[in-house]
Amino acid sequence: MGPSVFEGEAMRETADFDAFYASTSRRVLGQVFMMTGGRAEAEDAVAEAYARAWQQWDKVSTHAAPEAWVRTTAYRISVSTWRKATNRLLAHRRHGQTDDVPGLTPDHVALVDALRDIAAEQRRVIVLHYYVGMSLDEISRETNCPVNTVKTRLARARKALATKVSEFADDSTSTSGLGARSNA
Amino acid sequence: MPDQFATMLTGIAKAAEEVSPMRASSVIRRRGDQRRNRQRAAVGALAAVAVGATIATGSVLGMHRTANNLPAILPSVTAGPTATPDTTATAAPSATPTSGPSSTGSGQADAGTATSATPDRCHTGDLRGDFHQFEWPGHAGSESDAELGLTNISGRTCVIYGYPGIQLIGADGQPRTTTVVRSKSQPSRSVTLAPGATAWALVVSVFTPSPDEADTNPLCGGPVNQIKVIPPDETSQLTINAQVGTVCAHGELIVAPFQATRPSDNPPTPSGS
Repeated sequence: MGPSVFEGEAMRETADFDAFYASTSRRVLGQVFMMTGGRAEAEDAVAEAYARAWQQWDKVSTHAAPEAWVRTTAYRISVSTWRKATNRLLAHRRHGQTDDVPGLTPDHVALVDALRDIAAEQRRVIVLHYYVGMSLDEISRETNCPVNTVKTRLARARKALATKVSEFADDSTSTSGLGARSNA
Repeated sequence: MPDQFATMLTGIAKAAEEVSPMRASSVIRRRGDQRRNRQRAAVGALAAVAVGATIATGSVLGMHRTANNLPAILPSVTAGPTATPDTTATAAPSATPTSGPSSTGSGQADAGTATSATPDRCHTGDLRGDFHQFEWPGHAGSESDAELGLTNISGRTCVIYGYPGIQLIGADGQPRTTTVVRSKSQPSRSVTLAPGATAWALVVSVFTPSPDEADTNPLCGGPVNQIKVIPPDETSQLTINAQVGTVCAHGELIVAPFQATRPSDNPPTPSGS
């Protein structure tokens, strides 16, 4: 029952974890929200991922990239099928409440909707590449896929999004459609 | 590449960060501690069973009923086919491919059992086990979904309630590290099994290695081709030959409680629609 660490050690670990959580959890939440498209889902998955990180903190704290570990874990939790089943049930209960983020502009909402329509793995690659700013190699490592698979997913995602979000149509981003942008 | 796109993503993510109430770190740690304690208990119990010890303690295996996550009111669900309990063979789980429109699953039949007395719990000797992997349409990822079926092969009606215990067995016949994590994705229900009827539990495993498993050879200990299953509240096990394949995440299995319906008949709605 009792952990076999000295009390001082345990306190240090706790402080370490609390600092890690405080400094990374909001950022990870934003990333996972983009990967899942659902706020409640993202909040649950992120909380669960940090709980798992604490559960094996001796391993995670010495991991090369603890934040990536948590992000990956949260993503896996969110796409896992049983979690989806839960959310399906919860969706009925939450009827009427939206899972959306208040304060988004119309074109933000359009993008969120478009992202929800593509496959989870594609969404994940899009977020890692364009939002987190990772290279294809880094994504390949984090997602445990060959680089070519990452490339394919990215290309497909861009193609799918291009039909819905004008910003993504091509590199010469012509800002048409999706309403006026509220601020530059 | 499209900078505006990255800017928009950032705007959305920031908005989500701002409105989301973050749980306190202490709450997260407590949850982690609970997970750790639960898993230790489960691993201990299953290891004892796997080596053939029959002394599985009720206090550990009895978690099926004492877990504090059980709903206060237990809806009773009757698994069909109960209308004509003739031979066990007809009620055996059909080998319906999981893709494609499946024929009416056993869960659809909803003939209530007229017996007033509550039937006894299903004992291990009353049951036959089946384990099938399946794919929900459109689902991809790092996880493998499977359904564990326990079929009542006795001549009497019995009841299953709760979670199975599972031990993975490697190709060498030796037990492998197994951690059963109980999902609360579905409520625990009393599933009444007429002779020949089957109760189903969803079993999810991860087949891509965790970072610390990436260099293992064979990957994650090699394929699992047999499992031992302890029905809820029982202390003896069923052996099922099943091509489970690679199980990573240090043998973690996420298991839902037994239901009257087949998981493969109930695909989740794709996210976003």
